[in-house]
Amino acid sequence: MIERSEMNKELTLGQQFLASADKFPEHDALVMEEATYSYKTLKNTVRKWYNVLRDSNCRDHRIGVYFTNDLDSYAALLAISVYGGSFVPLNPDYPASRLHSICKEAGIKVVLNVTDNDFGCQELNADASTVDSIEMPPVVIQPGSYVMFTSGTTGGPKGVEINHEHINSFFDFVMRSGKWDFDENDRVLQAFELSFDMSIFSLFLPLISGGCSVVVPLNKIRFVEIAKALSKNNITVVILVPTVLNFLLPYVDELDLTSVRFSFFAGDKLLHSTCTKWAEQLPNAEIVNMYGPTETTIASTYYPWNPIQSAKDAQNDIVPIGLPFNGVEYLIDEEELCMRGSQVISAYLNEANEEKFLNTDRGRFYRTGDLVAKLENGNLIFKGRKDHQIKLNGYRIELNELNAFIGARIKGTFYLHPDNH
Amino acid sequence: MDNLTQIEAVIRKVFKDDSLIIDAQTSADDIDGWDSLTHLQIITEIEKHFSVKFTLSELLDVNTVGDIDRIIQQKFA
Repeated sequence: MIERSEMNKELTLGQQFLASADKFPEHDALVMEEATYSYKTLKNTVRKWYNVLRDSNCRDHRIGVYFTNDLDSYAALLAISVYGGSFVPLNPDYPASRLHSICKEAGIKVVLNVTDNDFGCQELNADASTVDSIEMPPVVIQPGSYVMFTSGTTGGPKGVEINHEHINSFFDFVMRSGKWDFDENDRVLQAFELSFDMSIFSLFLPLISGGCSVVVPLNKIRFVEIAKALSKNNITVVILVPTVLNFLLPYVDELDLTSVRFSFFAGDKLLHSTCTKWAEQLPNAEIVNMYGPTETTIASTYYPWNPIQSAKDAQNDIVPIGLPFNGVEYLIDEEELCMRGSQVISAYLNEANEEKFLNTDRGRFYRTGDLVAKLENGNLIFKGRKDHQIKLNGYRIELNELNAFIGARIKGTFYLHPDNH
Repeated sequence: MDNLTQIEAVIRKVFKDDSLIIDAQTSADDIDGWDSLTHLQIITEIEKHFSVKFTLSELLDVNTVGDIDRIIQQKFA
């Protein structure tokens, strides 16, 4: 483990990865299907991409990375962070029009790891000849760490830039609050696309601790790939969306999960009955429900699941989302959860969606749109949505974005609503 | 009716599409909408149809419709 005292809180995620690589060069850093890459190998690949940025004299604050879920995707993303830039993952499954819109919104001119792109950006690619042996100091000094795009209500995606303070506060709480103990021996399941911010948790939790991130292939039948990864990699930390758990449950008694120490869920409602079945297969694990929109940096509340207490706390079988992380405060405005603090953004990119913020005497709060109630023991419990947002495998989908998109292309009257199936 | 034809009928039923042409090489990549949910529905319907139960290790071995056919044949061998 890299001690916090050894680190500068302003270090980027990429620079924290370099500290791990220097301390544990022979440790496994990434597992991808049959291939295992050590920190030394990953650092050399990162250096290749860093040199591409340096040689191109790039000074952009935000740089796109087209992720193909291979070593180069991950190394290019890390290189942007080492270089000091804010990385913006671009999902190849998105249509060109959406990628164009994301690049325009984030002011991205340069994209790594893509050829013949049809969304109007300059391409930078690396080959073996660009490797050299120099150190990798930050070149661009700016506050942004990464940008994620979430579904917007007006027909376009909303850009959320998480800065170094936000993400370091998140990892400070997760790694150093004493709630959970992670170290260089942990092997963490990475089952998310890089355009989903939970991936930052499952990728960087190990990479800044000296541990290993086990990357699940982006196959259409994701739960089968997750089951394969769980069955052969001695995973110690599982991070999943509850929806995936429902697919795994029919087969879970055939999985050997004795190596698992922690099981984190986030991104959708977690059911007590599901946890009860899952817990039977994880005799040595702590189960934690986490909650947090992208705007509050991955997760900002937590609830340690317990078979007895959670049976009392759960409502309609739904497990509470718990208490806020240190440094995050909340208020409840007409049942809507509003949050502020060291992990919470105070504006979207380009100052968009001002109505999503609430200015009070206590400061500026982000309106989550999630309706909550407070239990007698202080834990928060999710009650529903204020608007027409739905969740699909943990992804937020604003039905109004779909309505706006379809409305611009089809004449006539129609309206998508969460109650219309 | 051979197994493959019966499996084709089950998959057509799950997708509610009688025009689907399924052969031993067909995989999830060949059919729009074949995701985790439909995969589990297909396996469940096939288990009901053939009165068999897939184990996890068998499920992990399924990459094509031909793999499903092979596993069913092994169960009846």
